[in-house]
Amino acid sequence: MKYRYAFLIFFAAFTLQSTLIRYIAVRNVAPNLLLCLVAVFSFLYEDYYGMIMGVIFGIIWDLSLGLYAGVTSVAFLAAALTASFLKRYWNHEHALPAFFASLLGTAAYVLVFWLIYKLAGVPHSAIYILKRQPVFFAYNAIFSIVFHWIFARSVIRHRMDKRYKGVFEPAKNFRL
Amino acid sequence: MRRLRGYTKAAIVLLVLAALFIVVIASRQTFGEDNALGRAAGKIIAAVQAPPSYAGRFLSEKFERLIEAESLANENEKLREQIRTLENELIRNKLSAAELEELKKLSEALEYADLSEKYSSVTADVVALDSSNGFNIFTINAGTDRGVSVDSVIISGDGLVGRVMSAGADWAKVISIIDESNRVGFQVFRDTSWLGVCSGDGDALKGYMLDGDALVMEGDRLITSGIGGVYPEGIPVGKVTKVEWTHESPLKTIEIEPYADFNNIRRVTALT
Repeated sequence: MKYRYAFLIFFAAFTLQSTLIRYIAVRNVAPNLLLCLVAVFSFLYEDYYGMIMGVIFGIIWDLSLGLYAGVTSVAFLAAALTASFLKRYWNHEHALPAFFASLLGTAAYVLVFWLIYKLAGVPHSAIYILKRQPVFFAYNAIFSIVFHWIFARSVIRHRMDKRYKGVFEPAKNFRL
Repeated sequence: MRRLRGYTKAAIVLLVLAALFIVVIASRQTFGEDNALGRAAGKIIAAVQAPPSYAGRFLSEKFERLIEAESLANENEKLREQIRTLENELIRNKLSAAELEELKKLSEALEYADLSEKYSSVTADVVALDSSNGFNIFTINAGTDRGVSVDSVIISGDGLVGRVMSAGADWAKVISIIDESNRVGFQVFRDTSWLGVCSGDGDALKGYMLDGDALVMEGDRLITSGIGGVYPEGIPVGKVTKVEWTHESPLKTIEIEPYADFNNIRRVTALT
């Protein structure tokens, strides 16, 4: 994947995030498509799409809808670093490790995001922050799985191969 | 060599992090101030977000029409408009009838005036809204060019929505009343001597009565009290859904369902 394609994908997610995604919000909590992309791209690709796009679109997001510029970028960077770190030890081709990587990436994002804002002095209480998280985590995990399924096609060359799928079939013309 | 490359990557990440922290600190120090970077970014973002926002509005309207019969939707809209007008009229009448004498005496001190007399209104579209983070912030396509400024009050046809926290030439960021950082002084419509304060709960409002003896009950309608100076008196806030009172606490706490539908907010009015 080229960086310009990654930019376009993130741009599409950004416009969706700030406009249409509210229509699927549950108790006023919606998934963060940009975060899902950051986590999946960092977990899936060797290149730094997730980190670079996360920093760029984090700044744009903060200027558009944040309190202070830069906070979302730092939080996206934390999520990208977490997913990149997990990629070293987990198989990035399968959906289950991607699911857990997205959960841990979301956890890193939430932790860093609110830590910086609390240090900056926002008055939001821990209860207010925590009660949103179950829906937020669930939503992000679902979207991350979908994104992984879509983008894994460009990384895994023969995903429909029966050997990749774990189906064992002895060779037909095998002779001793 | 590979080890050195690993250190280079780590150094780049650390440099980016340091730069971002400087941006965060600078942004916090200059929060609310008008600067060229903020103005330019806001302008570009408002322009970029307007088409998908209109597309979303168009699609959602079509979707709603599909679900409900078109005639029912139109009739419903007419009835809602009538209710809004009647409610506003009722609030004005109630305020003027019950407190006319008092307001006459206090008008000079309190500078009380009807909203339409004291404020001019600017209608704006919501071009971007964030429901993913804890902050309930949205962007509108009206700014200082049309008289919208920091702390301008934002209302919808249903009731109070929030206040402007920063504004550029043709955009403004609004923090809604369901955000925890936003506090609203209210009075109970049934008896305007019962005052309280509420703040956001993420998707609703929670508050407390200043007078523990106030006989507030479920279903009571709340309007702004004007106390605090940001929100003028008489704007509908929401309906009481739960009242709690324990012997341990001298305060009566309440839960409020706001009149404004924050997930489906499309057009608002700024009082300038």
